[in-house]
Amino acid sequence: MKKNIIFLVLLSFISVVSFAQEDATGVKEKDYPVSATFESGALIDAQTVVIPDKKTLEMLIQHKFGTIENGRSDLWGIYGSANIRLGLNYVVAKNMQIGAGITKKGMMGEKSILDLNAKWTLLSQTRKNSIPVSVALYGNVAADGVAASVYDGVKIRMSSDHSTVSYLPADRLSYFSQLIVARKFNDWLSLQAGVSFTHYNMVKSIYDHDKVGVHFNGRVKVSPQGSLIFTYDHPLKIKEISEQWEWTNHPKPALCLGYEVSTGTHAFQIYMGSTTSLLPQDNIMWNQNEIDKTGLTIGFTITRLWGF
Amino acid sequence: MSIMKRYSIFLILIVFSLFLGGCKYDFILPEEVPVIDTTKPVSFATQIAPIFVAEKCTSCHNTQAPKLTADVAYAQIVPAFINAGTPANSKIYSVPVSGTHYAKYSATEAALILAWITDGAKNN
Repeated sequence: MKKNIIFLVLLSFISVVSFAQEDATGVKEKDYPVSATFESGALIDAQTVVIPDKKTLEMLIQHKFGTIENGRSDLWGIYGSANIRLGLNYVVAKNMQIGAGITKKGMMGEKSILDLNAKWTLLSQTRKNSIPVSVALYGNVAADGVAASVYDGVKIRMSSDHSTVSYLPADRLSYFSQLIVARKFNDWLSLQAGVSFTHYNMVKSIYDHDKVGVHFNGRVKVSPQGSLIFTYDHPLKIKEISEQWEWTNHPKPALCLGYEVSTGTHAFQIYMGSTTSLLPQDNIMWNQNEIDKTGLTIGFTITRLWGF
Repeated sequence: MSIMKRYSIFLILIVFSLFLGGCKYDFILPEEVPVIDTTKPVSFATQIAPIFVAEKCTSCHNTQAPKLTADVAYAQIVPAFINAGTPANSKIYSVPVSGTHYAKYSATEAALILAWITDGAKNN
């Protein structure tokens, strides 16, 4: 379990070291970062390597509706039970962003989840390829907001000393950290891949606390303002970090396809995908939606930027 | 540049303290179902009827059938919601345990209700 944490920490430091070297040697010929690898910091429900200019406030409105299985009786889920996330991100320094958001619900039926997050673009791809890819690091911590009374009478076994206790506030927390590598191949094609580590402080005794996921996202521009976009998240089965003898309800991969319309300060993305979660850890740890009509949902993401 | 580097270190610390700080591996243990003492009969008045109040059944089932308030609950349930031959198929047991009914018994409550039906669903 701990091995993976160390692995991710090391991985991030490797990137830091290579960044520092780039600085030390100095690039003689001026080489500028490529513009707009993606149109916004959010792609459907995923993070991109893009961070807006310094002192920019970004508002996010994210919606995922119910599954489309009921057809016209609830207008393909649009009048079903929706998941909503409202978020604000602020760019505190060049390529560094902090943010917070509140999500209506998670897969475990929480009523509201507060998340705090940070993103840092370590490396930006340049036009003359002196840096061929952009690299970003994203991390968040989320606290579920169910009433404490839900935990009444629930017995929890502490990992530290194996004693049995009742609920502690720290058991509400979950974490997600991700390393993202992206490349803008040309004006119309940008692709990115990521590896992530998800941790929940408390799970039911049949589940795992940790999950490693891989992520693929992309954009194919079809017109000056319009793009086809996709995200794919795959939770990995890694025996070494599992605490169980067998896999119980192993989370299912999530595929989302959508269309993006963007302007200078707006991005509007409408999509269909096989997950109802809006928080990445919720998706990687608990997604049970199949890629068929019982699991697909319609959703949209709106971002709005304000410069200060 | 030096300002940016200072920020960088600051941000690395934030991201990883968010991630590493207070990492716990706690488990929610499954509910332990007490073994029901079959030598003593389960009492409807003191053990079964209070479940309907505790699980808030009575907040709907005070006007809807079956009415589960303590004064009328027994007459409403027996015999209509009891299957003496196969106690587990009794509606008062099966609907909140395996059906689509949104309110559910806890494992302990379910065990008590099943024991009471098996015992003959007596008004004791």
